[in-house]
Amino acid sequence: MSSYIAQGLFAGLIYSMVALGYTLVYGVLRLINFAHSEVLMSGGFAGYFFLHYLMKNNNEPTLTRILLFLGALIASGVVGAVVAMLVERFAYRPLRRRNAPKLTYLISAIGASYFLLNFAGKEFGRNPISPPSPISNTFQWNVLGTSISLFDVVLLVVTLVLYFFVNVLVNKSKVGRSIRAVAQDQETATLMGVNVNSTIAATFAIGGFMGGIAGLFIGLSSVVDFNMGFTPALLAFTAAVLGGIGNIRGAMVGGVVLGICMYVPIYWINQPFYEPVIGFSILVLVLLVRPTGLFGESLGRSA
Amino acid sequence: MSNELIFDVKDVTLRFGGVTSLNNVTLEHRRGEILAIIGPNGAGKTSLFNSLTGVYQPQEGEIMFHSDTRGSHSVIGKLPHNVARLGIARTFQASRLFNALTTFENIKIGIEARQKTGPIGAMLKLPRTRHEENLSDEKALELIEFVGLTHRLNTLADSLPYGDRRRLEIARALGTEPEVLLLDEPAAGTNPSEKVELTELIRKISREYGVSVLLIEHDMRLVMALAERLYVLNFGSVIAQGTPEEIRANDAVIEAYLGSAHHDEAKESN
Amino acid sequence: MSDDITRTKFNREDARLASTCVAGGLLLALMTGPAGTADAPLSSAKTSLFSGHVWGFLAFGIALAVVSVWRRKVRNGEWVSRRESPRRSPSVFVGNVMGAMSNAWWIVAFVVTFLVALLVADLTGPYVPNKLSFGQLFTQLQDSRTYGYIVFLWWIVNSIRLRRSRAARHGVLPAFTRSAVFRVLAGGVGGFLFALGADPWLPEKFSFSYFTFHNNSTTAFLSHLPTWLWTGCGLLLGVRAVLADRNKSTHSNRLRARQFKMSSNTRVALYGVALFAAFEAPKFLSPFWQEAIFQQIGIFCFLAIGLNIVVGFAGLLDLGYVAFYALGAYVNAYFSGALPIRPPFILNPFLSIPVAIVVAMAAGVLLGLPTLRLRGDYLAIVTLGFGEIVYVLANNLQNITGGANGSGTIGNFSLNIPGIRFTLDGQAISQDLNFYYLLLAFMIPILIIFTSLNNSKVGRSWAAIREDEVAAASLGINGLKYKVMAFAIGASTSGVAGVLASVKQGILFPSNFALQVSITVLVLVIFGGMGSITGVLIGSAVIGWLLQFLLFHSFIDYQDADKYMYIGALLILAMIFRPQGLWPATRRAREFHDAEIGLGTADAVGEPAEGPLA
Repeated sequence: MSSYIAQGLFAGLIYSMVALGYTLVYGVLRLINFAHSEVLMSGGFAGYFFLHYLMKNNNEPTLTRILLFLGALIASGVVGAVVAMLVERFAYRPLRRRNAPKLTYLISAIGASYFLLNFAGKEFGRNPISPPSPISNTFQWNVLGTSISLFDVVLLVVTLVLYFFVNVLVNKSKVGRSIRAVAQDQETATLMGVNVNSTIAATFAIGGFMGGIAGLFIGLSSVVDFNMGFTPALLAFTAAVLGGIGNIRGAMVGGVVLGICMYVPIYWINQPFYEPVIGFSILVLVLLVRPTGLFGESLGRSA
Repeated sequence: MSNELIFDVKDVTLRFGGVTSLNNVTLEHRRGEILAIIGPNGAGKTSLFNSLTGVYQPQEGEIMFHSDTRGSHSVIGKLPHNVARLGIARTFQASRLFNALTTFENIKIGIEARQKTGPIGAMLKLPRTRHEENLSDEKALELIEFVGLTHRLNTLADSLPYGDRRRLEIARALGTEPEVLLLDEPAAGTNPSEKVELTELIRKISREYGVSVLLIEHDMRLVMALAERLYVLNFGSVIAQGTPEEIRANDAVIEAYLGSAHHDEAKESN
Repeated sequence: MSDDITRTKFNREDARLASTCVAGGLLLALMTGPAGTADAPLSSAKTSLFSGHVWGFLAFGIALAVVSVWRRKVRNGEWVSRRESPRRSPSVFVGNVMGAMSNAWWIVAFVVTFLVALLVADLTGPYVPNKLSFGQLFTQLQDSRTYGYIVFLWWIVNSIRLRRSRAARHGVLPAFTRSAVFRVLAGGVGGFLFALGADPWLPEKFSFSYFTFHNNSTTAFLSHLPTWLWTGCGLLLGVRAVLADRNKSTHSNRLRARQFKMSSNTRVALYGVALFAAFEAPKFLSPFWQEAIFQQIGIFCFLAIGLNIVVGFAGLLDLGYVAFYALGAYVNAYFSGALPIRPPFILNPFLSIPVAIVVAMAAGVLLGLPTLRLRGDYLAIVTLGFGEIVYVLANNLQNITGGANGSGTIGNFSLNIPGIRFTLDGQAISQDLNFYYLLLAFMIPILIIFTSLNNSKVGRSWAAIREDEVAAASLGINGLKYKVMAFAIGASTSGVAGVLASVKQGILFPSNFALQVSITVLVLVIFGGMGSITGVLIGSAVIGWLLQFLLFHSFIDYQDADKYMYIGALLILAMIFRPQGLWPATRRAREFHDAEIGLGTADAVGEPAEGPLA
């Protein structure tokens, strides 16, 4: 049973990373960024190529491994951020300029997601591939009745560190202030001298960075293929709603809670394909019972 | 004008976070009368309207609506469309028309909201649906004539000149056969001749349709000419109420509008 | 300043425009190049760079950049051509040609009509081997159909011309045209002439025991039942025209702001023509296209019409539309006994249709009610999730749905009521178009129903909610009720399509119900024109045809799986450049335009309790 909880916890960490991207963009633009799933995928591919071409064999010394891993992190994060910004620039900004109705944004978002997904499928082939992992499998610890590998620990550390940074960024820095200003009232922010376009680009970049890294982790733990972003992103959105959309802490907690809630019932049902079904039911349940999520929405609202 | 109340607002308080928009507001609107609410900008007049129509939910107090035919209901806690169904119609400060629809269609929507046709009737063009459609056509044409927009029958609402937009909004609100009509600054942005027409129109509405009117206005001449009673709001509280003459001489009102330095001058000029 | 010939430097705006065009060309090149693999990602790019069409696209991008920059500068007056002179500009020349042609309008129109009618008669003549040969065309002149086609093509053209010139409205027509006798007679004669071009149109597999068919020769023309049917229809139209004057209910028809202001009679008659084309045209297609017409285009049309209610009429976004389609299909499979679990009784597919409608509608209400209460944009992701769940469940619940290997075979459509008796075998490969006609038989009533729905109180309430939900609420319109209504109606249409398709396919594979289908239907609705039924049909036809056409006739590397890439790109481009679609509903186009300048919204996706702004 505890192994299921552990599985859920670590899957949930990945969801929280992705959920952050959704929550930030929704807070600022009130838009569900469907293309975020492709940001994840592009991070995964970036990580794959980085490791595939730079990691020659499995017997590298530890220092090289650490460097490779960090390099892969940065590569996937940067690529994720770039893809997110490109999507914003080409699929959303023209609509913003024309004051388009909301439905148009959503359609453009799904179009962007679909395009990128199939473009990657065409260019990189439709077969799933597996990046070589710089994290060795030899370390295992027994915690509370379940075994935790080095991979899980690294995931936990990276997630916490990234969240810490994002929190500091949004709450203490100038960029963060402008993000919060634009989230509250875009027009007034413009009047106060905030450059809305670059703030929005920065928002996408931050979310994209986290999403890309999440893609790397998914790639390392399972496979990389053009379809990999779809289901995790859907579940991550559920996590964002569960925690309270627009709320950064909510995204983090929501991801973990969702992960645990998704995996634990499998202990009784024993049919793994039910995981997304449970996740989706949680989404509907949250909307029914507590639509503002666990922590309530905060980024764009006053008290 | 009877002494029967149509709106009974008692001690309503509305807060947004740290800001108190309405502070213990008590108001009585008698059936058939034209009641005006005045006050400086930001006094809470539109918030009061929004509370009366279910858009905002006050934290304290009660708002009772006493209908002629539908009994008495509390407005607080109801969704806006249910409040409208009680017989309360309103217009907005910035006209919210259905811009891509014609004048005729705009008014028809108001009338149809009261009808009982559902999707099945609409899909199959049942006899009752067709009958209701004819009825609403006739009524819409009547209303268009009443407000004087017959020449704009088929014009799209976004092409209408400003005064006509105002009249269309009023006609559309009348289509719902309300018992009380809330007008939010109907004369804002109109020129003097339009103001005269508007005054006449509101009087006609009150007389011929028997509708009680509650209006927010800044134009003092129009208010004094039209209103039978007035309430004055400032910073969310009622600071005075009474007939136009009483309000004109009221110290607190003069102070609120002009500031206390002008208080004595105003008193002398009265 | 306007006298100088000024040249401005290449500034930042131009650089951005140019780089976008070139990048677009490059992207297009990558998209149309050969597929790559992950092991050698650069190899496909290398191959791309050396193939001719790719360079063509790049050149196209550069040319586009140059033209855009030039146009922008000319429009801004920054870059004046040396030889500018109004008399020699190309647009004026074209205008002169058109003007000259318009005076000889009649002659040109007549010749064109005659030729077109001849061509159409030739192409639609059945059992003829050498179409479009001179000998054949000559023979066609001896067939009554040719003259029938001439007459009603002429009638269409003339109606349009009369509308345009407003002659009818100003009473230029002689007075006797308003008399009742003339109208009824004209209707009857018109119908008869229409029948000249018509044909017994039902394939042989149907046997209606009341009707018998004669051969196609001209002498037997007068004993064709269809001749009298069409004549009768014409007479009815004439009678309708007489009664219309006395009936006030058409008053509101005239009060609608329409794209083409035509009398309701003309509109009904045009629908008749479209109906005739829908019946006649597929018969001369090759078997491949006949199959495609049902499977690809037909079912997608059906789905698009349903999704149009949700996206077009109500302004919501439903991304899991395929789930309701799957529900309908599996309901039919269940009640035909094709699934591993046994139903309590076996139902004819015709009878599964009401069940499918109820199931799909229930699902729609259950899904829509909690979601729509909050935000319209959440509906998008909730439906996306729902679609995904249905797919996952269908794939994995082996003992309920038969899993990924498909269900058993599904029953046949059969009908056994007095007078009409026929059977459609699900296994028949369509050399004939039976399923197509069955689909048409369902689609036509649905088209009629949905059009009346849109022009009724419900349709207007949808428009009100799209435009300004707060104002609609102030009138007593319950936004939630109408949104859920639209969602449920759309879902039930999808269920019906599912039943129809399942009988044709015979075996249900869950891969038929993947997300791709939802997105494709969405593209059809959006590309064709949200909210306009004609637009949606045109969009489905165009894109459906294009996707099939590209499979065989493309000069670029095109595999079936690539089509989704193009669809995604099409969605983005459509939203940026023409969100109202190819053939938009007038109201919708207006709403988009208004929304852009800040008057109202054009969809129901925002939060319902937005609150008044003033």
